[in-house]
Amino acid sequence: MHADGHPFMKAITRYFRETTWLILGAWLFAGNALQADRSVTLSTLPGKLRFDIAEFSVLPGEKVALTFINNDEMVHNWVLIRGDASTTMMVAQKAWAMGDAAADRQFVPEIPEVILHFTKVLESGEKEFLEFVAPLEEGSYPYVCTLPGHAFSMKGVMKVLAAPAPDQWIVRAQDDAVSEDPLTLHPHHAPIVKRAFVEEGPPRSVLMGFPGGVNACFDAETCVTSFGWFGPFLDIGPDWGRNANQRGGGPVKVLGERFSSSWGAFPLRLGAKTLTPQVVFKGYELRGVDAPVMEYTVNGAWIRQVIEPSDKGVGLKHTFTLDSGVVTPVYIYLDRSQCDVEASAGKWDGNWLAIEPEDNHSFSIQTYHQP
Amino acid sequence: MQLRYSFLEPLSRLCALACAVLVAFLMVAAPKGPEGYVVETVDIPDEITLGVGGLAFHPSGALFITTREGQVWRLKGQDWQLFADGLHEVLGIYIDPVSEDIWVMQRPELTQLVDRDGDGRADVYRTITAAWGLTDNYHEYAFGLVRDAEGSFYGTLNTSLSWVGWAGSSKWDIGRVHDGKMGRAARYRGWSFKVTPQGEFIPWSMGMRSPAGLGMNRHGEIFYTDNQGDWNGSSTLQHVVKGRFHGHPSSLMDHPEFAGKDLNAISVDAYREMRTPPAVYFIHGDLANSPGEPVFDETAGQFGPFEDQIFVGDQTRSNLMRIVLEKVQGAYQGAIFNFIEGLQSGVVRNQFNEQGVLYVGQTGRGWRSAGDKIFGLQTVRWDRQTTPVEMLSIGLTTRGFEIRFTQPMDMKALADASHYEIEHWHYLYRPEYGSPKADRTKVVPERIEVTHDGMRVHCQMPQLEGKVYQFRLNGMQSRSGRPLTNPIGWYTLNKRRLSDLR
Repeated sequence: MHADGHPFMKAITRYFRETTWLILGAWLFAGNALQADRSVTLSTLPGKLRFDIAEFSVLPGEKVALTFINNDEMVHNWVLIRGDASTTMMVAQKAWAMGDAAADRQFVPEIPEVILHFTKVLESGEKEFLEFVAPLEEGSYPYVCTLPGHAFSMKGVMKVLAAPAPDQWIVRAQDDAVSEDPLTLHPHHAPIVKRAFVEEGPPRSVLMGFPGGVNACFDAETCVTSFGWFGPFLDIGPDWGRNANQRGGGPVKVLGERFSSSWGAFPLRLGAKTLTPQVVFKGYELRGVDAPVMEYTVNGAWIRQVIEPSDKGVGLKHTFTLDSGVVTPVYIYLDRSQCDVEASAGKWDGNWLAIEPEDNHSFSIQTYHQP
Repeated sequence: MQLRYSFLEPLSRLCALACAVLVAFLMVAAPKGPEGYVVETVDIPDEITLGVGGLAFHPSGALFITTREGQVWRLKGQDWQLFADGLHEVLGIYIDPVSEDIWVMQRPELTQLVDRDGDGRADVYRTITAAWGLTDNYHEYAFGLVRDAEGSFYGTLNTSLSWVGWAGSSKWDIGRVHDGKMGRAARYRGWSFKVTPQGEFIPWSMGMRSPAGLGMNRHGEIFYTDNQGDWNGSSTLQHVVKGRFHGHPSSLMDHPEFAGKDLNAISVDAYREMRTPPAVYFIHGDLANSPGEPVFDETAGQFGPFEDQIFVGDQTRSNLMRIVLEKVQGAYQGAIFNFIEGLQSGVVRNQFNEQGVLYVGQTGRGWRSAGDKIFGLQTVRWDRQTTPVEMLSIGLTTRGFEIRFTQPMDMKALADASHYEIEHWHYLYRPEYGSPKADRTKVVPERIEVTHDGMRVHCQMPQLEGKVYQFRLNGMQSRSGRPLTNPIGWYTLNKRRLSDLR
């Protein structure tokens, strides 16, 4: 109002309007250049099998500097994936099925179409610095540790968003989320055996969990491997009782996804296919061995059966050791239409595997599925 | 003045209430028992869940504790070590005092736990027998474990919870008789069994309902406790003898003579005829609702004046009781007394250590036990000098009952019949759940005879078989002026005594 019409004031006003745009433009430009170089520091939480960041956001196409620090005593890696939760598990399963090659290849399977970036396997206390350009496509990009069994809890999401809300830049893992439920059994370092009732399983179950995330249910009544599953192992809350009011004794819950063991009735026949096997469970051996050893007798002959994760795919490897006194052929029935099967000895005739006496002291059979 | 008073009244009431709550809390928290007995609580590390299922002492003095959660802990001093893990609800343990071998009763089987490499952890879980049937019915407990001089083990198998209204499914509804609640969804439910050193499983006695505790005396005689419920009017202590029928008919499905027979076609009266009555009734509501392991005081006096008597706890009331047995007409019967009340959680297992200290294993989860803990371990120790003031025993004579005391009693009340409140009743044997105290009848003793030393009194009175007699002794004290701690005793009279010669 005062400035209207006054030439000096008009000049001043114009000057400020123009310089403001100029300054604003310069600021915006400079700001964009700074934001493009985003740094994220991500760690492992000691003893928790978790990343400390559950979720972080980046802008499409910006340059990301990621530092991954392993604070845990176990080794871990960090793998960024294009896909969803099932893609993540598929990548993890493939990593676990790599066998001896895994260590050389940093537990990263060769699936370039879904694996965007990864660190090497870091020892305790190590760190690695990664630089990459964020995808242009907005969306969620999961990350995971692909060491055996870790993917169930060591996972997070990188979000690519044009305009993340202030609380979306870094979402830290919640305290209550980082400690495992004490009634969740999860074999971190060595196999676990738990006897309990299990949902849709036999009453005399021997439940075996392995650090790789492959688990098995062995029926101590029939000596048949009833089923396997792929996941963190067991929720034993129904067995222990979760609070003062619960009597417990209920069936434990399988955590993860079941797969058929492919064994139907008891599969071994000593001497002749037609001989009815009389099977008596004798117990198991647990410590001082790599994997639990189930023991039983078949028509009086002592058999040891090691059950462990398959090294061919998602499945189980059964290694049978027989009494040296068994000098007859051994026949094994297995429905081979259910899964991939590999036997270390013998000849197949349909679903019957015949193993001659000279090979029957110890042999293994793998039943597995390709991820 | 008026204003001030009404202003303060709620406060003072609140204070009074707080005091009352505190007093009530202290009364609940402090165990109450005879003089000379000290209850102490064993500290359990926070990370351990110890729903006790079995207790046994190792020759090294370490206590092995098995749990409902499937673990076996070794406690030596203050040092807790996990000996075995991943078992299925371990409700019994036996450790050989010489070979140090360890066996446990878990729900699916009798298992030997072998620490082959000697590192203090079991490596081999050796199945000895799994001959009994098992479904996923949560009530199919397997209890134990005692072993006789020949090396045979004994255990007991719970019936199945079969009534759909409680079980929640009809899949276990097998073997219920006359609409009882418990049945037999798998073989040998409701049986005791023997396992020979060669591993042979021998069904031993039948008719059990919920046989939660098993004990053996120095003569190799076995007793078990059963819980009140269908066919069990009140909880019981029973003598286990081969072939004996303890009263719950569902187990008869596995008896060869009843194979294929319709158990519902047999009358309750016929079952009553077959049944051997319990040696001792626990008094439901007054004493115990779910008794656990009976343990014999064979401590050579280290635990006070109760040598050869039975100590047994209750899971509901969190108390310890004392039982005195005698043989009348060839069968055991006897008296029961309360001993210590106000323990911290449901008492299920008891074992004496070498020094005669009673270890009391506790679990209350899911069963609403008295006390402020869900599980725990307490010890009861006699100070080895104070003689408690208790009834030592109640025994049957041909003319009445003789009550003995642990020390000389004040003669005045002892000789006065008005201080004796006596009544009897019986429990109904029937398929319904529990029983009232039927036909409660007061009895006035015809004559009271006191011995000169004040240690014994004889109540002359008529006796009826099949009754429980309650003796409430009012206003009794010792000669030294200390009151009788537990003034009530109960005697289960199955058979009359025919001769006073013993």
